[in-house]
Amino acid sequence: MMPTTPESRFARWIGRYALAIDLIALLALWQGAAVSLDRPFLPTPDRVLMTFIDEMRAGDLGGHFVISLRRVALSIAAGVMLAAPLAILSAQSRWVDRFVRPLMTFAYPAPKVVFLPLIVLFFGLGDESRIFLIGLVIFFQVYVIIRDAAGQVPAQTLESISSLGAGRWQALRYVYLPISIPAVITALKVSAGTAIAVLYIAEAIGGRTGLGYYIAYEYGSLGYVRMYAGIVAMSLLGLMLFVIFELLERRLTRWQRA
Amino acid sequence: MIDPKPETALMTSPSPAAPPASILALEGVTFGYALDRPIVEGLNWQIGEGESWSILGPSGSGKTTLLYLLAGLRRPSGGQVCFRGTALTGPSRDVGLMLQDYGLLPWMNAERNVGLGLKIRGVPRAERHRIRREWLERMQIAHIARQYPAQMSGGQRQRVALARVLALQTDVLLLDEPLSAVDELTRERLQKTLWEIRTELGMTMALVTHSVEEAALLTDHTLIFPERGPLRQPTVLHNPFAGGPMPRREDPAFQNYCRRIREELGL
Repeated sequence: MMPTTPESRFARWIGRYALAIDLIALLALWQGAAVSLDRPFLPTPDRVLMTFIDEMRAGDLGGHFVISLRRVALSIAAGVMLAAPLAILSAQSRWVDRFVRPLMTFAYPAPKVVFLPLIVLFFGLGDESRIFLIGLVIFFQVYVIIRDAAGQVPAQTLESISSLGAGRWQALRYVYLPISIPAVITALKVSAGTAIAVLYIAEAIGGRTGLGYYIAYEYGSLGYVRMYAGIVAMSLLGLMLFVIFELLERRLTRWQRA
Repeated sequence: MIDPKPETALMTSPSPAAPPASILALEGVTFGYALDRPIVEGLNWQIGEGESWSILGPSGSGKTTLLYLLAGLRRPSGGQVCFRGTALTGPSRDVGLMLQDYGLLPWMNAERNVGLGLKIRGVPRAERHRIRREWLERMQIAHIARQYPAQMSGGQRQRVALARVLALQTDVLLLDEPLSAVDELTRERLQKTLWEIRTELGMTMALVTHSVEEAALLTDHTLIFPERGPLRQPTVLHNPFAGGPMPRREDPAFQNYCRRIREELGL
């Protein structure tokens, strides 16, 4: 949304190219640090970029990227699809809330990542254990975010819909669900960040696939440039998810920006 | 309740010989948000089929609460509210309510808000679209059909809410200050529209308003809340124009009736 106050041409120019200016400044800083430090664990950005392109095209990086993308997408989908209905139901029904909420309050702050060894024992070393761990972390986060939002339905809104003849099911459909959508998207955006972070740990420990493994492996074998390429790939993965959710938000919450 | 019911309108036109059967009745109703401060206490009040009532009184005296009781949104702590002889336990589909803050859903545009009640009642899509178009036009808001409540003025929102409740064509219409936010010109037009709709469909109506003129213009009876304390024995005034055509503002009899209401209000 463009501000309505008149702006100077300079300010408008800055606004349009702000991202590019940021990126150039960051790369310049990196380049400067790499050149002046001259250590193997800080290569220059151009070398990292070339390696990234090579590894994506010819090396294993592309394959690991796809594997990680699939894991993250599945975990987010599973976490949100299980947590969102439970959170909305919990906001609408005092009875459900009474049982679910204390459990969530207790389990939400507990660190789920430390259960990884246990999860591996149960689910083995395949995709299942990684998807389960990431999904588990996301599940609690999504529940907390959506439960808070869906609990804030104004009394008047409920009165108005019930005076129109709506029962419980229709209140869920016409009030609780739509009022939760912005929160679901916020939860998705937050999840994207969390999922990538947990993904690294889930893949770096006891696996042979995925970007987390790739980064940890290259670190162990002193392949620093490739390690950086892996970090770039993982950042891109996170950015990709974030942009998708941002676009989804623009489509679904038009009424809020009206 | 979609079909207009001209025969009902004929049946319920007030006749002095036989008072109309009550459609809504408060029987010894007591209610308050705090136990020691009832808003209504042991109230007996009947609204006859096809009657129209205004509820007037100072701000905060409990006019909206009385409307909520009639709508089944509040349960009395004593006595009962009866709709067609049965005690209300919740909102009835034959009673339409327009809330003071309009109660529009912010994530639905005007036309979807107007069609919401119909959708909840399971009216088929084509029928629903026809009805909501008709009421958008009657409320003169067809041009904002695609706008969200946040994009509308207060008066426009109010008209959307009014269209939404009128589209249901309920037997009883409960309106909480339905025209308070519209501009003067639109208000006069909509008052006329409301009067016509009610007469044409023979709806029973209770209207909370701050405007003495509106009460005298639109309704046959006026119930007045006391200045302080709970409502026990309401003061009721009867409109000399009841059953006739809509009163004209210049008419001395109309102005006289307004003056009587003002006197009762202590103005």
